[in-house]
Amino acid sequence: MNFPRGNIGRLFALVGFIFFLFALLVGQFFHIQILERDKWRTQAGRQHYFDVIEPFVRGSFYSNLAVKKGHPEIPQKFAFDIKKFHLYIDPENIPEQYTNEIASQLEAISHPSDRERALLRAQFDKESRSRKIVSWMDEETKERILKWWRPYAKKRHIASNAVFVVGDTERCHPFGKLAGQVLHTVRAQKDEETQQAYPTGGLELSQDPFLRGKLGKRRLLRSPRHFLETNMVIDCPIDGKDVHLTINHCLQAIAEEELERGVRACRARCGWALMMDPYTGEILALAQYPFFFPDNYQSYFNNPTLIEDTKVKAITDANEPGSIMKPVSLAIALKVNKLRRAEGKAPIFSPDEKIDTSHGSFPGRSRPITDTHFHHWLNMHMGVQKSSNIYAATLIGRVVKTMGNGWYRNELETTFGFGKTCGIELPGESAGVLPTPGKKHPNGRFEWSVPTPYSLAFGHNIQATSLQMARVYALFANGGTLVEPTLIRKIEKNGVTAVDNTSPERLARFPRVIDQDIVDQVVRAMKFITKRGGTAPAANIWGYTEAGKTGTSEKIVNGTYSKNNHVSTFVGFAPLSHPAFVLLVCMDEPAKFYIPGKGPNQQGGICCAPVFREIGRRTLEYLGIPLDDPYGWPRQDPRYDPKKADWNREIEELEILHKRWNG
Amino acid sequence: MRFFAKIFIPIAIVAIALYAYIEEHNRLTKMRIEVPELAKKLRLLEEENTRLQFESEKFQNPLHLMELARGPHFSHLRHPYQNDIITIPVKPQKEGS
Repeated sequence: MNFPRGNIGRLFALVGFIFFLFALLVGQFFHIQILERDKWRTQAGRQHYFDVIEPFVRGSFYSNLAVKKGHPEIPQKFAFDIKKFHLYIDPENIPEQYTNEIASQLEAISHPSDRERALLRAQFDKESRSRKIVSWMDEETKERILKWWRPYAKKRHIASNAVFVVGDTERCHPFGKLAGQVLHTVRAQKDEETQQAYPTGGLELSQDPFLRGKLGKRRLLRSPRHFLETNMVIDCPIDGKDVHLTINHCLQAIAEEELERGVRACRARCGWALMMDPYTGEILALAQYPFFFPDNYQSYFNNPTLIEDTKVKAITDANEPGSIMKPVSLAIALKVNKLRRAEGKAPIFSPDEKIDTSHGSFPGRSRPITDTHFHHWLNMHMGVQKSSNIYAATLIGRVVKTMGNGWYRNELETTFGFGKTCGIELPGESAGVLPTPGKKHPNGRFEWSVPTPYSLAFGHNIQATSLQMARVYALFANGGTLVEPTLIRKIEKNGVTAVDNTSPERLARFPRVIDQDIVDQVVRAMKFITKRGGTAPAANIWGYTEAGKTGTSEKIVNGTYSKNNHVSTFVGFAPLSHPAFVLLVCMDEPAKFYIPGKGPNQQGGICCAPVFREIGRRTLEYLGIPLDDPYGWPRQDPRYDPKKADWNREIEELEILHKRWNG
Repeated sequence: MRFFAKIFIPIAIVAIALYAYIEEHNRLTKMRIEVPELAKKLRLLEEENTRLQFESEKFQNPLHLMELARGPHFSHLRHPYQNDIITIPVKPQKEGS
C-alpha cells in the first residue's frame, strides 16, 4: 500500500499524538494510583465507610460478701455507670414563633431540676448552636421527647436536629451516701476526646488507672438507606476493671447508723468509726458523720464549710491518741522484761507490783503529770483499768532508763508503725508525727527533750491517725502480727486479676512483732476497761467478751492545748477467743458538759463507748458469731449469772486489792 | 435439538449458580443490615438491665432493709449463728451421668 508522502507524516503525527495522550493517561494513572495512593484511598474510605465510637464502661465497686461465712449473696455494687442522656437545643435553628411552645413542651416532658427549669427558657435566646437544657435524663424520658419532637418538627418544617439528645454515662450509687467519703465520685463533665471521667477523690481517684477504660472504634459501610456492618473492629473497647472492696455494705450501714446516733447524742463536730479484720488488715467498714453524698458532690466542693466532710479523717487527720496509747507502753515494758530475763537480768517491773502513783513529778517536766482520779497504789491491771497517766509514765521511765531513748523510739516506729503511713489505698494518708531526737519543730523547739518519753507513754507529744491506732490494736487482737490495712480485696475483669490481696502469701508477709505471751498480758489488762470499775463499762457488748481502751485528748488549737476542744476515742475488739473485728470510734470535739450519773460527756468512755457497743453488738449478730459470754448481761437481766459471767471473779479480786491498797 | 440442549444445559447451570450466588449475597447483605439494628437492641437491653439492677440495689440498700427488719412483720427474724449453718458440699458430677 502506497501512501502519499505528506499523509505518512500526518499518520505518524497522529499516532504520536495518540501515544502522547495515552502516555499522559498512564502518567496520570501512575500519579493517582501510585504517588497519591494513600490520599485517594483515604478519601474513598471516607466516602464509603464511617467509624463509630464504641464506648467503654468504667469499672464498678463491689461490696465484700466474704465476711459472712456460709451465706452466699448476690454481688452488690457500691458504684457503677448507667446510661443517661442530656437534652440539647440549637437555638439558631428554632424559629422565634415556636420558641415558647417548644420550651414549655420540653419543660413538661423532660422533668428538669429546679435550677435547669429556671434557666430553660433563657437558653433559647442565646446565640449558640448547642445549649444543654436538661441533664441526666433516663431512656424513657428521652424516648418521650423524641416521640413528640419528630412529628412536631416535620409538620412545622423545623430542622429535626434543632432539638437533640446526647448519650452519656452517669456514676450511680444505689446505696446513696454509704461509704461516700471512701468512694467519692466522678465529675459530671468528662474529657471530650477520651471520654475519661475526672474523679473527685477517694478510691475513684486512687484506683482511677484501673477503673479507666479505653474507647473502641468500629467501621460501618455507607449505603443510601442502611448502615452495613463490615465486621471491622478497628479498636476493641476496653472496659475498666472492677474493684472488689473489703468494705461490707451491711457492716458499713450499721456503722453509719450508729455513728450518726452517737455524734448527735454527744453533739460532736464530727465522728468516725473504723472496723478492721485483725488478721488480714481488711477494713470492713469506714464510716464518717456528717456524711458525704457523692451524687451531690458539687454542693460540698462549692462550700468551704462542707469540703471538710469529703475527707476520710480516720486516714488524713493525725491527733494525739491520748490514753489509747497506754497498752502500747505496757507492751513495750513487758517486752523489756522479757529481754532482760533472757539476759539473766531482773525485770524492770512486775505486773503485780505496787507502784506509787500519788505524785507525778518526772525529770524535765515543769508541771507534774496528773490523773483524772487520785490513786495511791496501783498494779498493772489497775493502772490500765483506771487509765493512770502516772503509772504509764513510770513504766516508760524505767524502759528509757534501762534501754535508752533510741531503743524506745525505735520500738514505737518499727514494732507499732508510728510515724509511717500504713499504705492504705486512699489519697492524703497522714504519717502522723513521732518525735525524733535532735530534730526541731517549726517553732524552733526540739521535738524530743528529757520529758518526751513520759508524755509519749500516755499518748501526748505524738500524733497518729485512727488507722494507725486500729492497726496497733489489730496487733493485740491477732496475737502480735503487724497487718497491712487495705480497702481492696481484688481488682479484676473477666477473670483476669490485676490485684489480689486475698492470697495467703500476702498474709504470710505480715511480720510478727510482739510475742503471744506479752499480747495475752496486755489483753488481760484491757479486759478490765469495759467492766465494773473500768473507764468504759458502756462499751460492754452484752453476751460477748471484749477488750479495749478509752482515750480523751485535748486538741491543739493555735499551738496550745485547748481545754474545751477534745478528741475522744474508744478502740477495742471482740470476741476475745477469735476476734472478728477491731473497731475504733472517734468523736471530734464532743460538747463539754457533765452527764449526771455518768461523767463528763467529752470522755471517750462516755461519748464513744456506747457507739462501740452498738456497732459491735449488731456486727456480731450480723456475722452470726455465737455468744461467748452467755451469762455476761446487765445485773437486772434474767440471763445474768454473777458466778458464770466472764471476768466477774477477776474484777471482784481487783476491787478487793484496790480497796486494801487505797482504802 | 442436541445443539440447543448442549447450549441450554450449561446456560441453565450457570444461571442457577449465578442465582444461588446472588441469593446468598442478598441473604448476607440482609444480615449485615440487621447487625447494627440487633447490636443497638442488645445495647439497649444491656442498658435496661443495668438500670433495673440499679433500681433493685436501691431497694436493697442495707439502711432500707434494716428499717424493714425493725418493723413488726420481720422483727421476729434473726441472723443465724455460724454454727447453725450446715454447708453441704456439692460433688462434681461424673462425666456421662
